[in-house]
Amino acid sequence: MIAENENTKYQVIPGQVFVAALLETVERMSGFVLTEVKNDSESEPDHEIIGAMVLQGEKAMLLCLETNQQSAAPLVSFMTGIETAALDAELLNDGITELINMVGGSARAHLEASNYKFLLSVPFTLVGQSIKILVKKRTDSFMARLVCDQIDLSLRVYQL
Amino acid sequence: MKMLTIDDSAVVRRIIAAAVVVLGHECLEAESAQDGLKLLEDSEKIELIFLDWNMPGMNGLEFLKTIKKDDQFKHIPVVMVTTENMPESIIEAVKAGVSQYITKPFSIEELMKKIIESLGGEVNQ
Amino acid sequence: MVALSQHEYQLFQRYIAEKCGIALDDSKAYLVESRLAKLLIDAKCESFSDLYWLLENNSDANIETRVIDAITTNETYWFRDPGSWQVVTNIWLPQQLAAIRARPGEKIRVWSAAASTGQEIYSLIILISEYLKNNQITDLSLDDFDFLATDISSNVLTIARRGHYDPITIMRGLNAELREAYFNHEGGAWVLRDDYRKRVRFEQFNLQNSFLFLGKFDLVFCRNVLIYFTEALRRDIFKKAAQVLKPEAFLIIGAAEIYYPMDDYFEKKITSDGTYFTVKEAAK
Repeated sequence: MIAENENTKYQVIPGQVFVAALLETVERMSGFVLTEVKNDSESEPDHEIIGAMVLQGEKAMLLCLETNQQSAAPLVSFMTGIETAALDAELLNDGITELINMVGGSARAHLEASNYKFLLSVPFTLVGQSIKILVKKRTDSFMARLVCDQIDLSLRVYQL
Repeated sequence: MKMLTIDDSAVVRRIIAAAVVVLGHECLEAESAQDGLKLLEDSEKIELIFLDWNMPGMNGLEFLKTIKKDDQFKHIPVVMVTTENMPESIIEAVKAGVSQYITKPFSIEELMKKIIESLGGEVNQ
Repeated sequence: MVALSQHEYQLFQRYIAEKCGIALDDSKAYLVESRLAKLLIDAKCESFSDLYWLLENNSDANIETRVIDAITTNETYWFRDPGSWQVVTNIWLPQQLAAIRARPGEKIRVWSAAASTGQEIYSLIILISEYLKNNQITDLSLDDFDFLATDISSNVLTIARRGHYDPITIMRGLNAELREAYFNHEGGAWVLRDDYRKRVRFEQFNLQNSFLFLGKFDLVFCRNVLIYFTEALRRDIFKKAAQVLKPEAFLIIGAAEIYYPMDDYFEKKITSDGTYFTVKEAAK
């Protein structure tokens, strides 16, 4: 895991494009309007669900949406119309994974306009207690924290 | 009217089914193109298909091309619901015979609008 | 490759601004491109040049409506923008109820100008009904109101008119108590009760047209639709809206919307509840 203060200093990853894509995706699919907040690693919740996909172009990027059950439940509930109590783990995981899939798709459309070209992998999910993605120390990365009520999401992009 | 959604995401299938049901129709679900083909063959008249593009196994475009070659199924209108949002993809799908195109992310209003459009403005009362 | 060239994009941009009053933002070119590509399907064209040719030769009278419909996708929630509903409850409604007592027989007229799937106008009906009940007002009722809701898209109006909402839509902004009080649960749908649903007249209407035959209103909602329009069309809409608003009437726009040309016609009222507009004396 790279140190938090190194996270946003790189200019090469078009992080805001991914943030914009996430805001649009979440609003259209669930009606929630997320707000980007300053991240302090202290308050960042432990993650239990990570939706991820690889963007393969001249340079490859790993795109991750990291969250927990407590955040995923209202999100997926508003996406599907199923009460939170009736949601199972499979639907929660699927919802988060589908969101990152859509974020990748919209971000690609934005980026192609500025000549970044890449292919999208199928999305996949990592689940477990307090899970993290570890990358080599000098890897460029981008991180944004987005919240709405009890929903708390971290969007991370790593240059591979 | 009976409709079919083919998507590997259970969440997306659930959203599509909610829109179909509220408009007074019935929705079958398949999580792969192969399962979709089987449902088409086994079920009574399916009158509208919602189709994801990127799925493991047979993809949506291959599914579309397959049913458009089949006399029994080629008349069923197909609504593509996909993250493939580049114009060249949309045109490829048009050429393969898709009748509506929805890009993900979509709102449920947009989805219902397209269903009503596909049915020529009619809904069950 | 069939992607839009810069030149083609400019042609479409100009055409759509002239005919539909929609301003296509350069920064959103990617979005517009895929929306236009979807229009190819509606227009049964296989390339952008075919579509442009079709538009230029105007062989399809509905194409303008379809362009607007394709580009303006409007998500709606129950009681969207809490501030505007507080304005309606705490300021507008008490004023109107007092006024209508002074001129019995008349109706309080409301227009939802971009009604979409109906949540805005139905939210208002629920709000008024709750207000009357909570304040034990019995001399006035929903019968003293007249509700008009219009949209450019006949498809969304079909949804609105039916008043059937799916489990996803019903969740967004509506609490369980109101849901149980105003809707019946039938199969997979929540159906607004007829006493409320049948009060609204839904009509297809293009905001580019004249407003005069709509009559005068005491409240107009025009939220989250003007953002798509060109400066010229917006100004025209403000002018026309000023003409159909009664002297004490309120105009409500989206919470995040700011338009400078409004100042020519409207007085902006910022309150602790929220913001609304009234017609300027000079613009009447």
